Amino acid sequence: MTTQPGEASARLNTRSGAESPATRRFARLVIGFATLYGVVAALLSFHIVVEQQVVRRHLDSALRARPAGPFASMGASRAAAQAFVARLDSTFTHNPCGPGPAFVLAPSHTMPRRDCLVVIVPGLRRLHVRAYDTQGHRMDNVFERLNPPPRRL
Amino acid sequence: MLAYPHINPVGFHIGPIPIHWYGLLEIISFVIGTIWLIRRGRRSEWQWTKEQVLDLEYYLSVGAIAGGRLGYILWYDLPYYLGHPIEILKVWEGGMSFHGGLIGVILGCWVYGRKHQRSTMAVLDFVAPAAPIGLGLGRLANFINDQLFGRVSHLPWAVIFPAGGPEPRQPSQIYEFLLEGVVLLVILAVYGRKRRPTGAVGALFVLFYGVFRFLVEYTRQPDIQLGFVLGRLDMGQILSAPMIPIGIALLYWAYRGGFETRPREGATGAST
Repeated sequence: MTTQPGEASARLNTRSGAESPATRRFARLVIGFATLYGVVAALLSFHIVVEQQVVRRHLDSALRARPAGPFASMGASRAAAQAFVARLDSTFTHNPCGPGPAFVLAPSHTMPRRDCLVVIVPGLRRLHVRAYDTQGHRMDNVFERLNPPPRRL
Repeated sequence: MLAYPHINPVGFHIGPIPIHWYGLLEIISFVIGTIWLIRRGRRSEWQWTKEQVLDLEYYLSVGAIAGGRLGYILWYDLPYYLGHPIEILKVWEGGMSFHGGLIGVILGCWVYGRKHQRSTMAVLDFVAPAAPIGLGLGRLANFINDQLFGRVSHLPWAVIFPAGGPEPRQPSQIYEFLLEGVVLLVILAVYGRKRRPTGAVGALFVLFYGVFRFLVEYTRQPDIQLGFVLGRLDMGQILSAPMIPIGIALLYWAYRGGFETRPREGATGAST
């Protein structure tokens, strides 16, 4: 690639030079914005990790401790689920995302969708466990089982 | 759906030492990037000697590793590392953040520029086109290592990753390889071939990386300790979003000639 006669000198001028006051102000503005944004992101991350850790423990406990099926009837399954939810709620009393229980019983067609919530759904073959993360998104049970809370990726 | 190719993460052994594909690809990208920068530095508008390029790479490597690690600790798992501070040093166990690495590289360019009397933005312009080589090969290494895969999907090209369970998932590492590696490399290489205002090439890197990463994150499984962070956004998107307005602002400032500097009186202009 050929170079125009002024190119080399133009590029060399970028060496050992002094920025204009306007550029210094611009640089301070960008650095200030990026720093502030980074600090806010770190605080947000810290808050979310702490909350999500609790939800992950709740989900892990529910998956490990759920009563084994199959059940004789839906009524029996519902009774087992109700007792299971009561047991979990008395063991884990804290919902990190706000007031209310951390575990609820729900039939699948009226599934509540709430942040930091573990929902136990009665079923004939077994009790189903569905968990929602700090933002109310459904968590991936299989992925969570592969990487239970104490273990790290 | 596609079958995961099951590539052994260990490429080969040198005596008793296993050489992992991940490390090997990082070394390959480092060597390719270095050779390219040496060739690029020979061009009359840059005028970087081989020794200067190698010296600069020292600053960039330290910045990328230290920044990448600190960024991961700060933005991805701070509660854990506060409880286990010794783990911060275990870099080999994984946990690096691109955004932290980028800040580290910018700081490395700044320190190098101050030492050798070059403008930080001019140094960034010089190195930016080589960055996608490392980023792209790093994503391929993620795919080989069966890590950082995508969300569950039933697209025809979804892959069952052994570490991700039985459900097929988006091969998000391949999307990242194509966008952050191949496409970004082509954009910066083509754009950087002509003389551009100081700061423009670096700004374009910031802008396009931000766009590509923000989009690909929609297919990527969020980090397990975080999940989603703000509505439907994960931490990668939170950190990539500001790169877009910052990249545009830098590009605007570059085209206004804001990063062109006046030679100081008595400055020699050349660095050793």
